[in-house]
Amino acid sequence: MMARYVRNSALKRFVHWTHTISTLVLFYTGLALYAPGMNFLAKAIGGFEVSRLLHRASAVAFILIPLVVIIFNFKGFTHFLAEIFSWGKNDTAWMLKFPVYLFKANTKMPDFKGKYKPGQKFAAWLILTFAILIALTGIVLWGHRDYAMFSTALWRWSLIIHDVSMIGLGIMLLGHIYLGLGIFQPYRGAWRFIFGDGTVSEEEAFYHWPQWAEEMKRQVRDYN
Amino acid sequence: MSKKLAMVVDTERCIGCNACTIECRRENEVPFEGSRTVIKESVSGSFPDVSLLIRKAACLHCKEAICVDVCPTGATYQRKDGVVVIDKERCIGCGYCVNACPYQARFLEKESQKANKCNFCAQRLSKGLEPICVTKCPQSALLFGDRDEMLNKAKDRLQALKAKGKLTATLYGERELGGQGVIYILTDKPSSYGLPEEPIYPNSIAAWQQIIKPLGAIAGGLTLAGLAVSFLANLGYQPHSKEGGEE
Repeated sequence: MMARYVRNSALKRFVHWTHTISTLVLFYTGLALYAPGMNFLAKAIGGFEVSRLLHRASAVAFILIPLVVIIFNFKGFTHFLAEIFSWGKNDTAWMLKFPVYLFKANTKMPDFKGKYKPGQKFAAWLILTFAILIALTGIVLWGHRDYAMFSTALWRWSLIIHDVSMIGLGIMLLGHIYLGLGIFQPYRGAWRFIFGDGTVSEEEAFYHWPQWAEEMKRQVRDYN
Repeated sequence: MSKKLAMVVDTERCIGCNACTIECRRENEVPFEGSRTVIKESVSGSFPDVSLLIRKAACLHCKEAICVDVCPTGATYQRKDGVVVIDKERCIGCGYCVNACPYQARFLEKESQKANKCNFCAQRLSKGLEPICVTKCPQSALLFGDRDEMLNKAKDRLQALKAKGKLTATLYGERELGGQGVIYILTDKPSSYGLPEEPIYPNSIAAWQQIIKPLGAIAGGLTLAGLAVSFLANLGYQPHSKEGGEE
């Protein structure tokens, strides 16, 4: 029987599931306010009161779930940060070639080390940054509307940064969905790695992350 | 260009009797938690040379109306005659306008969670009547009508005040934020009345609405288009085949 390696723990998959749902709800309800022409999105789900409630409920999940998980699994989080912030010359070469690969899937890509592809690490930086900015500015917007807690200037900049981050996150998200769900043919079936039981077959591991697969194989051999 | 409407507020004549604020509340059924118009008092100068400055504060109906531009549903808009009004049906209570107004002229109604502010008694204007505050002012401190005409009257009054020795007298609203629908005759500098000397239309708001948002929509569209091209370009590619780039 072919070996299967654990790629994403149950905890990671739980955080990803909750963030998938909350992010999609936040985008839907938020886009209803982007321009008057988008108001129909809110009307379609029962009006802006419903829309606001959903936006706020999802915002709480969006912020609190990862925060609690980070606090109680701080070691795991620092480990994740160490992984995504490790970067070498090969990673830069890989990243620069990725746009070509995106349109010509049989391009030979440079080797890379570690658990994540350079593109995954790059995406993680941007997604983390935008998500944190959205969370912080969202707290200001909520607090200032209901309790006038902050200065007008801070409120105004929060409104703008909230939108800019949303645009940035939205673009990252489109790419993330395209690649992660495996709509991009070379990554077909990749959705199962996070939405399934979190394991990958040996073949898939070697196909996507050869060095990581090598390391996993060695660990299994040493264990036996 | 169609005719603009304007109100002259003569602070020299105003005695702060609150007839306007009470009549406004009754006419417009304004809920308790807010007001469309209030009397603001401030003390200017230092003892013994002090004076009490009284100003009827309300929406100034800016030409460059920040509240109109931040509204995400188009509920707040400016009529051709310059009056800034709120369409309650479209208002969703986001509070952007309340926070953006440089004069704190708006509030959110507690019950309905909708924005409220002075609209020059639009329901009376449509019947050919003046705003109720103008009608009820016992001091004739308020005038209402065609903006050009109002501006001329305010200027005449300013000259008269200066001739009487009130050299610090000035107008406010003639040019501020593109020219406003309220023209104040002040006897002291605007800041003494709690008015921003040089109210600004924040460039950040303009950039957000006119540059960032359209660019965001374009960027999102281009991303989608790019991904669609990528998808089509790789049709028929077999992930685990020997020709695969990563094997």
